[in-house]
Formats: sequence, C-alpha cells, structure tokens
Amino acid sequence: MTIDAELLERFHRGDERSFEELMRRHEDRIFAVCLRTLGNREDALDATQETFLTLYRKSRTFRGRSSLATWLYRVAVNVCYDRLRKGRRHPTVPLDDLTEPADTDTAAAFDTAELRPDVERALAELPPSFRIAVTLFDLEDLPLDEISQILDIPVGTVKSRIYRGRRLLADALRNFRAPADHPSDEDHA
Amino acid sequence: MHDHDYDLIAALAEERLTGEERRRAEQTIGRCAVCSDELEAQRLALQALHSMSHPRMTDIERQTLHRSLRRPTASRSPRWVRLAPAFAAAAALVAVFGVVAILQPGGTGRNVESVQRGETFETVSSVLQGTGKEQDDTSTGQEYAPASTVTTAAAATAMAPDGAEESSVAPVDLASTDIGPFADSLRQSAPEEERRDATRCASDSNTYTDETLIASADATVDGKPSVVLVYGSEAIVLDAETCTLTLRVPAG
Repeated sequence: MTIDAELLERFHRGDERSFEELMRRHEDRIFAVCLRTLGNREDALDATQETFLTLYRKSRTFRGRSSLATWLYRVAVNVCYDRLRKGRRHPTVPLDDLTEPADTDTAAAFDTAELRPDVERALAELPPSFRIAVTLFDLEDLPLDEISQILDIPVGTVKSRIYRGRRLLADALRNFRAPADHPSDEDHA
Repeated sequence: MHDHDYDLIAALAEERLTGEERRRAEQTIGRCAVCSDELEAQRLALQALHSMSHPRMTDIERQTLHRSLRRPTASRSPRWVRLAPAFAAAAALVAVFGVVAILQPGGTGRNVESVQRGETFETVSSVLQGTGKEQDDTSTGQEYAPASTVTTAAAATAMAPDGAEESSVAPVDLASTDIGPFADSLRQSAPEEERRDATRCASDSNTYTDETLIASADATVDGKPSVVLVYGSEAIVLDAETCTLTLRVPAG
C-alpha cells in the first residue's frame, strides 16, 4: 500500500490529520500547475483550494485506477480549465491574508518568479492546452503516460501539444527580443 | 520533400539520444533546414523553461489554504436534499420538461446519443442544445472545443418526493420521444450498476450550482466518461473519474 493510500484510508476512518498530511505531500505541485495555468497567485490558490476541497469531499470516489497524484492533477486541470472558460475569478474564500505584512517570504517568492519574466509571459500566452502539457512535462517532469491519464488524451496528442507548445514558446521569446534588435516603425517615421 | 521527424527532433532537443544514435540523428536533421530550425526552437524553449524557478506557496498562502480546508463545508447537506420535500412533486415534471428542453433536436449545439450502458448499446440521436457558455472564453482564444458528441447512458435519475433517487430511462430517442413515455421511463428504477458515476458525482452536485438537481445520467462526452446533471436552467457535465466540472450547457 502506498503512503497516499494509507493516509487516505486513515482519513476515511476519521483522522483529519491524515488529510492535512496528504495536502502537504501534494499542495506545492498542485499550486505550481495552477499558477502556471492561470497566471496569477490568487487564482492559483483558489484553484488549489478547490482541488483539495474536491479531495476532501470526494475522496471516497477515488477508485485507485491511477495514483492519487494523477487524480489530483486531473482535478486541478479541470478546475483551471473551468476558471479559464469563465474568464473571471471565483474566489472560494476571502484571501485578505495575502495583504498582511507578516508574510516575510512573499517578496522572495515574487522575486524568484521575476527572474525570467519573458519566459513567464511567453508561457502565459500559450493556448491553455499547450501550456498545461508543457508545464506537466517540461516543468513538472511527469512522464507522458501519466500526462495522458491526467488530460485524458492519447500519448501522441500529449507529445504533439508539448512539441507545438515549445515551438510557440520559442517564437514568442524571439518576438519579445526582436524589438530590441530592430528599430520600430516609429523610429523610421 | 520529406516528412519532418518531430519525434527525432524532440528526442535530440531533450538529449535523450546518445552515441551513434545521436550522431545519426544530427546528420539527418542537419540535412533539412526546416528540421534544423525546429530543433533550434525546441532547444530555445527547453532552455528557457528549465531556467524558470519552481513556484511555491508563501507561508501566508499555505496557512490560508490549510485554514480554509480545516472546516470544509462538506458536511452541509446538499441543497436538493434539504429542499426535496418541497420541490419533489414538481421535480419529476420539471425533469421531463427540463431534459427535453435541453436535449432537443434542431439546436445549434451538440449531438447526443443516448445509449444503454452494458452489452446492448442502442444509439439514438438528438441534439444537446445550447449556445454554449463554454465557448464564451474568446479572450484567451484557446482550444475550448465545444463538446461535439454527448452520449448519455440510459440511466437518468430523477428526484422522488422523499428526496431519494428514483427512476431511470431505457434507451430513448430524444428527438422523437413523447414527453409522456419519457416521464414514465424516468420514473422507473435504474439498476445501480448503470448509474454508478451519476450517483457518485451527484451526491455533491451543489458544489457547482445552487439549483435543485432534477436529473442525472452517466454519459460519454467527447469520448470521455462523464456525468450529466440537469438543472432548471442548465446542464452540467462532470468528469466521471474526478466528478469535477468540464462543461456547462445552458438550457435552450
């Protein structure tokens, strides 16, 4: 029995601490995927919360056909797609705490994210289906067959989305750099 | 002219090839200008992606997440359970009209094939009408392919007066069925094994709407196992594996 399965079983027997432990084991990866997909921290945190709320409410529906991590990624991707479809935020709880000054490592987290703003921007501009595939494969290092399960598409489609996503990403990066190399039309006017 | 070997290009970019295999691949790619350009793009993208840091939650974000889930609202009774006695009698009728309104022919939306889950599949056609809220995300210009094919299992359920699930439908041609017989079929019990996903997912359906659930069915949407939940103003489609939302379809 895997650690996740053991924790889930204990949670089903009423041990709430096991649920917290499950969260701790997966929350960073789920948050990372949500952030890459949605593009802002508040929405990402909402989506992460919704993902774990789904686990809390529906963990008994988890049939163990895949790993719990795969199941959670799948929930997270569905939640993110839903939010992108609606094109607006759906906060599930007020996130006023984010504005509190006590968060000493916030600045560090944002600084790190800004190390490659051009890449962040290029990734954010990819079609979501490509962005998610690239994120899961190139940033989360998940194997193709697991991504295939998460996205519920054939492995060949996963590979195609990754390839095309990278291609678009490279084009976007080149475009970002181009203005610096070439004078704008206004300069010629 | 030749077919560009994108697998080979990706393998080279990801540095999965070594030795002689790699040398031969580089030779092949080197003879094709398009392939060389593709390889360069793949490498540029990978280099950029690998330069990104892994995002992590701040302490405050983590605390917020844990606090919000410490007392989740999971224990709250689904709204349809609380309101069932009042709405029950109407629900069966609304179910009929609601389902027919949504699953009717001639709409602009989607093909619906109602089938019997199990050994005997009968395919019938209809159209799941809806202009598609799911298509309104043009801001991102992304690939939200509208559900083009919806296959509902013949296991719809409706709410009985006591709030319990009741009834099922045999395979019906929604394009031509009369409301009366359809209502009768809804009132029949579906074997448990024919509505496993719908039963499982519908138990927490108030996650997605405050409306009263009036019918549910196992379904296949765009080839994926799904659950269709029908409400007065919309039908929602859930991923059968995770019971999470994948599509909303407004009533026509």
